Amino acid sequence: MDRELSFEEAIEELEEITNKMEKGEIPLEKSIELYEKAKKLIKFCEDKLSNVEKRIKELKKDENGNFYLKDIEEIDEESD
Amino acid sequence: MSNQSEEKILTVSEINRIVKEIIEDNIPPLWITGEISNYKAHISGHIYFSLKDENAQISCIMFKSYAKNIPENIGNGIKVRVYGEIGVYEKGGVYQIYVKEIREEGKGDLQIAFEKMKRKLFEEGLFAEEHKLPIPEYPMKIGVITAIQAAALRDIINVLSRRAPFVEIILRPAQVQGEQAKFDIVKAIDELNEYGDVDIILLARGGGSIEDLWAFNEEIVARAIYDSKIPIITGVGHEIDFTIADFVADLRAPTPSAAAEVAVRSRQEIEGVLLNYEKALSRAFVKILNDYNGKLNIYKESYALKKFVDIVRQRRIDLDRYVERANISLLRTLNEKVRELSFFSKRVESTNYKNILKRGFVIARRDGNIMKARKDVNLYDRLIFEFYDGKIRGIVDKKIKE
Repeated sequence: MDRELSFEEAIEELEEITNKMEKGEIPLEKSIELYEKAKKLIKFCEDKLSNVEKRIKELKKDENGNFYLKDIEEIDEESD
Repeated sequence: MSNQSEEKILTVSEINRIVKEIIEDNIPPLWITGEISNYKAHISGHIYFSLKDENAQISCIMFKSYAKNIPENIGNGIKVRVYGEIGVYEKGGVYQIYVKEIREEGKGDLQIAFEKMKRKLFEEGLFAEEHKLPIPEYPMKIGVITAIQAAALRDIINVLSRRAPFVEIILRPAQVQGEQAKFDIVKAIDELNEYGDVDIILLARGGGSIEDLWAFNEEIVARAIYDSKIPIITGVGHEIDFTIADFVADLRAPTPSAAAEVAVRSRQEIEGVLLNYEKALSRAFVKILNDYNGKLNIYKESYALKKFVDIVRQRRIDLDRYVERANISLLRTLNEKVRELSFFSKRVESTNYKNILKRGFVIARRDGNIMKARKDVNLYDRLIFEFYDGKIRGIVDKKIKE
């Protein structure tokens, strides 16, 4: 299964591309390709940031020992 | 030596006042360990007892306001640790401890156990910097281990929702107090590692006594934190509380809220980072394009290109010749056509005027020139008149007035 790129990896790749571009010495076609790639990565990150639906989940195990996530709606207002 | 009679002679009150000041000003509140004897709980609510060891004893008084929270089984023979300050009772000339807190010495063993465990794990290298995992800069999935109904969890959720509403919170609830807490915490750490899809784990608990926080000083908890492949940030108790878990953790935050705070970057911060990349990339790209332009100019100067340009130029000259030649032949053709055209047009003209003559017109000529007007003709001119079917000759004998 193709794992989705993580935010961390996206930033790392951005950093890498920026370094390459700043160093120069790459063919023009390649630089256009890299620039397009970087723009896509930035867009990817911005999309992640604007995804603000509240997501609080509880990690649980079913009877077969498989993990699943259960949505948590509210946390009780009780102090420890 | 001064005269003895001139020396200041103190009263009992005065010396007791001096002793009081010296003692009370110089000995700060402190912990003293010993065994209780002469224990008396007065009807007033105050408690009186002595604290002793093998060789000495000291009087203690604990006022009612502090006495409420003393351990249940306090009494003669119990080893305790008391916290308070030394005070001098001037009237009696005695000093005693004004006790604010009593702890059973058995419980104080926790402190000893803590120190022992800390030393052991330190020597084993569990706290070493080189074993600490790097904290991810942009975690999007935050694992949280804490009690589900705890204030700590609410604090964490509040901070994360405010600073980084884009993150996902994956809670693995765990007991954080009591006998089973250490096992549950270990299991929670293991399960989050097994699950794998979190970038970081916050291990948190609100404030409490050393007993309340004890699970975080347990060796199995320390080892589970050490073995975790996912970085762990602890936020246990208050600022002043340090647990073994804090020392082993990849990062220690003073409180649960602080743990959440250091775990994530705010949205504005990250947007700033992205903007900087965008700027740097555009700058670099523009520079690459400019460099290319520069290179193109250099190529223009190069021998190879010059040769190429020469070839083109040569071809161009050849081309011009072709055009020239083409033009000449075209011109020739054109001239021929023009001549043909004028020839035909003359023929057309000559055939046409005869049709006009048939309709009754006559052309008058003098020496071959057509007379177009009366004024062109003089008296006695000899004119040739052309009819459609032939010519006649005549002489003008009169210019008739209109």
